[in-house]
Amino acid sequence: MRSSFLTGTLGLAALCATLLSGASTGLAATANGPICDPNAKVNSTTYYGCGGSSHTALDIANGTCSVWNYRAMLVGSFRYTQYAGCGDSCGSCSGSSCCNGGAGNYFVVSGGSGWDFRQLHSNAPKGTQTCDRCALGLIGSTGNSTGAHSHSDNRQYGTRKSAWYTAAGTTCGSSGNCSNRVGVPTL
Amino acid sequence: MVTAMRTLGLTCLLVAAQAAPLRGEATDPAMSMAPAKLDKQTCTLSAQLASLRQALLRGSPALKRFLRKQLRELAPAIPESELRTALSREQDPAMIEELTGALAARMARLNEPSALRAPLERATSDANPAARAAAIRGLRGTASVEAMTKLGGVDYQRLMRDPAPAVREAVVSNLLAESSQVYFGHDRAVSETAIAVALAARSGPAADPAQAARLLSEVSTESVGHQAVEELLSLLDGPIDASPPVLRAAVVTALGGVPSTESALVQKRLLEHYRRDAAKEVRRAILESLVRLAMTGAPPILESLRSVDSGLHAEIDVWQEALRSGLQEWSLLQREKQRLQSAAGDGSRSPGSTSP
Repeated sequence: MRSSFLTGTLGLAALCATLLSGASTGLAATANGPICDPNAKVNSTTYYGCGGSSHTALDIANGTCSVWNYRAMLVGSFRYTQYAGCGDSCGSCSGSSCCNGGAGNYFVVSGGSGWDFRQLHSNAPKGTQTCDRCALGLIGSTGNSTGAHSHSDNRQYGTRKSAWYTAAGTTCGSSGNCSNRVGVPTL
Repeated sequence: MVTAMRTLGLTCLLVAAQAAPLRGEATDPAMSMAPAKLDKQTCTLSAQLASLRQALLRGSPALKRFLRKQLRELAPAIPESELRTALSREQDPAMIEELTGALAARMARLNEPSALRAPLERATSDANPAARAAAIRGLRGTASVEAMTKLGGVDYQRLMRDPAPAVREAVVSNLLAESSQVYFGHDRAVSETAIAVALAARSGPAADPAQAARLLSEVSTESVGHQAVEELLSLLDGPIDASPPVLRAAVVTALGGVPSTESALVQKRLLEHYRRDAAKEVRRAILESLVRLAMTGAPPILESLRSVDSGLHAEIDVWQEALRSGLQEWSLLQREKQRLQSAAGDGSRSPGSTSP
């Protein structure tokens, strides 16, 4: 309920982000934060915690688990293909032996030329959907995860890229709210 | 409703701030330093639509783009009944497209296929062809094929039988945009719908071979099933002159993109057709499709066709040279072929290589 209210009231800021990004090229999409909560923050980018080992993705959390909707991040209609089968988790698991090779319940938007955009670790996944910033599930901690958060990455032929969020100026501490543009992934 | 009013309230503030300099109120330099006067307004959908209508008539491209996107962004917070009522009263095709787009945005954001009922009703029953086409254009860039399947009743095949060319053009553009921008060519349902629409457009009172050819030559067929491949192959049967060369070439292009499981069957049929169909643009399309299907296995296949048409030696040569580059991805190989052709002054398109 809270998240839908905020989505409506903050939609205009997302619109401004969309207009600034020039997302209508067909090759570059705009990605907003996955949680419609002002407390949602980016806490890992190219390195875990911005100072640890290599990560090359965005981790966004708001300190809660299985409470807030896990929103599709791309602005515009896209097909989010679900890979699920993991039981809901708010705990911790380490390594690739965690569910789905460590990805947990996750969603993939498959673009052209090997590009994709993924959102990982969802609880209560709702299934494959074609939609615009819809709820994919709840923010959770399935797979290789030490706490509830959203992991998002942009890859080509399986290699994670960083330009999509560095170009948007997103770094640790940036807002991960659903009204805020956090990146411009290639698809 | 509270959410809608709050959102629309913010809208009015921005529009008022934007409108002030346009009216040229601040001509005195000292006055221009003062903040623009903002009047308190009660915001409504009708006011929002009035702003958009004005902008579409006289606004700058940026203002038009902003207000069009703004309405779509606000749509989830506006009661669907208000949007439906506004659409039912609207007569201006440009505004019909925007209101349809707003309802389509609701569908995409809130997972409400029912939001498309009113636009589809308009697209099928309005007496004005420009209004019907606008109602279809408003659905562009959303999962409209999936929504129509869920709703039942209206589909793109039916819309393609419209007597107005503008409506048929809107159908084809929607399908191409949906295939490439929403699904990046990966969705079977959209691709098969496009093929079915193209088949429907080949004959009948509203036949539109040009749009059928456009659809077939541009839509992705990478995920279609065997039945769709058989339907495409059936178009190559029968008398050659039953369809124009541009449509036959488009069918061949569509066959070049089918899944690898269909590759052997399609290659065999294309080789046969190369000998039957003397139209240069069809043969050129067959060469391209054979390369796409066989990739590194294509050189001997191309050589086997060299004796059939001496007018296409240069085309075969340029494909062979492109294949020697070792590029593994179709789009790159195609680009390399175009580069080589351009560097050679387009020598493969020799005089007399036009279609009979």
